[in-house]
Amino acid sequence: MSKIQESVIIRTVVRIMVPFIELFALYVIMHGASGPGGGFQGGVIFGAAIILYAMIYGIANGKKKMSDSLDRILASTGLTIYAATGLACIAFGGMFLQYRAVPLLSDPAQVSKYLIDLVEIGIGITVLAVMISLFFDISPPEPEVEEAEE
Amino acid sequence: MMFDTTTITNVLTVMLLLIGAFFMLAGTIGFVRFPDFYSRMHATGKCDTLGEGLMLVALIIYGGVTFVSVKILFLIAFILLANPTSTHAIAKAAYDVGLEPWRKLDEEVVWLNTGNGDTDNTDNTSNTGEGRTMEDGGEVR
Repeated sequence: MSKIQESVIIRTVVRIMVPFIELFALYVIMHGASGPGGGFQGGVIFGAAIILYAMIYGIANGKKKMSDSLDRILASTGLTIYAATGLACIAFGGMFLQYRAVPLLSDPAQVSKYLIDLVEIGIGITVLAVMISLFFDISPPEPEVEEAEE
Repeated sequence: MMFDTTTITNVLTVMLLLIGAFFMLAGTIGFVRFPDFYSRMHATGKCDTLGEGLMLVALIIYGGVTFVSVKILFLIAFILLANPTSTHAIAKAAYDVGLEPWRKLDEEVVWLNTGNGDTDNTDNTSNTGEGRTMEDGGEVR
């Protein structure tokens, strides 16, 4: 446990900031169709929030929040959402990711809007899981973090 | 002479933008000109926070009460929260590894870790945290 991690100022500010960073990441993902942003950017921001938490509160505590098995599940889930959306378009007679082919709503533009959001969510989930697992993979092993301070 | 609200808004916006730009310029000049790590952090950390805050307040005044103004308000709050904290984190990391602050000595000015001196002080392996000694060019305590 380094001295930076013991700083009360940094720990407190990180604890305050992390939920807002995650909220902003969700905003970026959902706002991607009509403004700057998108699945990749939102996923990176969400992953950065978890990485920030793990950097300050220790890798072990970070893995409690986002375990390796959860990482694997999320990475494959996001990819599945993306691929299933694209393949569903093929199943309804269009091309890959040709949203207007899916006859969910009467207006093809509305279908495109919601399916693009779905695809962005899938991308975001995959990106955040891969970012976090990359960080955990390259982070040095640290000794057991002793609990119960202050 | 009558001032309508548009004139007052514009004058306030320009004044706040100029003051904010002045602080940003001062912080940047301090970053370039100050001798060592800590004083550079001192210059950029505070001046950038205040400069960005004032410029964003100017944008709020210019834009009026809109949804974007609320977003900018959140932006100011998070800049005020995150900027000093990151400055503190970087400075504390430097202090923990034993980087010494620059002191104005009696006769000569020693520049530390700026790459333009002959002090060959690019690593801190010999640093015990007790301050500079005579052979390092410092004064005896």
